[in-house]
Amino acid sequence: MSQEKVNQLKRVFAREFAATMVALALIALVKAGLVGLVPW
Amino acid sequence: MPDTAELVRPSSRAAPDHRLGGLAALAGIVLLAKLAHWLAPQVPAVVYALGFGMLAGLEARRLRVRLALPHELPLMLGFVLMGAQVEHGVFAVAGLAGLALLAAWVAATLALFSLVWRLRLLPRRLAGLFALGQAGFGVSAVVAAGARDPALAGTPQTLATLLILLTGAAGLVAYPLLAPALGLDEARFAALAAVSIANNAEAIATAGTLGAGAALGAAALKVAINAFEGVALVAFLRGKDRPARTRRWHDAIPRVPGYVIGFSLVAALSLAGAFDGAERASLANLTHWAFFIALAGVGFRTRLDLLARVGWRPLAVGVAVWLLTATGLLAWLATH
Repeated sequence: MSQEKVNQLKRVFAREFAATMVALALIALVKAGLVGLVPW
Repeated sequence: MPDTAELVRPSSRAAPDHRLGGLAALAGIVLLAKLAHWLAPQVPAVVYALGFGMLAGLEARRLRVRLALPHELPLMLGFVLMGAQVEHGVFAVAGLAGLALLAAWVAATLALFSLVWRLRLLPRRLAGLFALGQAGFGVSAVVAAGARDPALAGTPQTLATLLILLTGAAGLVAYPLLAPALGLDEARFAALAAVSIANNAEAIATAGTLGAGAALGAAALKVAINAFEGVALVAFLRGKDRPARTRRWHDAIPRVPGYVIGFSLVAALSLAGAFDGAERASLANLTHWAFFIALAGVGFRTRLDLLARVGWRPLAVGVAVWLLTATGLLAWLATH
């Protein structure tokens, strides 16, 4: 795999990692009782 | 005959701009879709999101407005949050027989779509995407695959989503009529719905037509298969670029999507008993919203012109594969 491809994958992964952190923060808010049942 | 391979060719157009406009457009589509679902709940919410997204995309291209709909963040959020639904009790409820049927269904679906590709009835990546969705991983896996593989974003995702929705609707209508005729009990009916209907909501709703016990059994089977969604997605994406050897170990990490790692982490927390029933319900609703928003973005990126050119053939092939596997499953359940 070329270095350019690896760098591109790393950028994509960084974005996915950031999204995962947001999801974990959201879960922490639900656990803390700050976010109740969101209607669907 | 139209060239279906065109569907999985990556778009060569430059990256779109107008981020704020994209955010506003996405919010508008999502609110309209939710309103429509509220007014006419007989149609699944995702159909509205996909349909309104497609119409907005068509209009934007006609007006030559380039919009970047920020739908990847909700998708990744949804995928990670889904991990909270994994709990170990479900494997006991699903039962060994149910899990064996799930495995058989996945194997049959993969084998048939592989055959379809070898017979050149579908391009390889589209057959793979159909298989990923129809094996039981549903719309969430189809949308997540497109986030990593630009060649699958938009039109192929829409085709795979339509296939899941079409076969789900067929099961929802046909199974409650067939079950009494074949004398299926609650456990067998739950297995039929959960194994052969890819989307969770449709599968559980179908099983629920026979009773609460069937709905519970179907829900357990769905959680069991969803627990493997991360593994399935990594296996699917690995098929994309084969040269897997990397020079350094830390170059290998980004090959597994970050949201799959997040999903596994949350699933592990859930198995360790981190969430109670109320928290799980709250996270389930947030997951619904996330995939609902992501699907509006998929609709927006769909090239209706391409869809019109290739016609219904790919969908017809997908439906034929489903009819074959579903009939086989039904015959097994009615005789064992």
